[in-house]
Amino acid sequence: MTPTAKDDADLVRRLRDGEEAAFRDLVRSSHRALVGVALAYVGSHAAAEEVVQETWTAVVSQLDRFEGRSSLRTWIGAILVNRARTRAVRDKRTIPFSSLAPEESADVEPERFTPGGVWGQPPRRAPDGPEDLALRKEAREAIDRELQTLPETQRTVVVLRDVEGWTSEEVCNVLGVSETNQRVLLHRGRMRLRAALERFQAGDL
Amino acid sequence: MFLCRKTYQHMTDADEGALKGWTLFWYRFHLSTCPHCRTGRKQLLQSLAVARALPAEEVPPAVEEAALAAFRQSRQKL
Repeated sequence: MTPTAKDDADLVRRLRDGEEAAFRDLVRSSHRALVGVALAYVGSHAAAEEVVQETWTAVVSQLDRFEGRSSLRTWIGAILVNRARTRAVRDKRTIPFSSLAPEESADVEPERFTPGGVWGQPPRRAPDGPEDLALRKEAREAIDRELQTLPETQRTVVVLRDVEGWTSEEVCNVLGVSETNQRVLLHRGRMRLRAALERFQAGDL
Repeated sequence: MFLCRKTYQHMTDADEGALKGWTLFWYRFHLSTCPHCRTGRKQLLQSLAVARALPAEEVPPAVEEAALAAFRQSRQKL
């Protein structure tokens, strides 16, 4: 659920009052999103966690400057991206999200469609029967495995939007991408997850 | 006119509110008439539901403690 401006204001007040439990909860609830963004810039999990650690140091020192003009997580995300970019430049890595690679704009799974534009290999139907896939550990593992194999930019957008529930505006503001580019990355990542679930349901995974 | 490939390529655009007017109409029309595209859409929604249910990533104790230490120090300075 997206925190409201009031939720943010309440949390920031508690943080400014020195409430450690609130800060600990914030660190824990933000970890996956922040590591996900950092990974797109720095390439290794260890480096991403270092960037996240630096980010928290910066966040607590700048807390009194948060004015609520953006959501708290956008503000924290922007601090992290600054840190991550600095680290990427230092490590001579390419800055992600500056533009889409040409292959990102191509059709997704074109081989599954006929030249006429209809399904040549239709999605395999899942077996009928009541089941809540989200509750099944194997299904979650299959989706998580696919998520880890996505290109970094797609993974970051899918994690922020679909796992962490960030809004499109928050993602675009933090990553510095256009709405259109964000949608392209999201679509490609989502369709990879769909295909992974299809293989899982067909017993291929 | 929306056939399967176009419908598939525009699913996220539709979900994000980027399709309008007749484009949106034909997208929805095709989805309502094509069982294959409906299967694909159902799988997409299921995969997103599974993604939302992924367990939270554990914060390494060293990262959490370092963050807390910085927090305590910043509040003491005030």
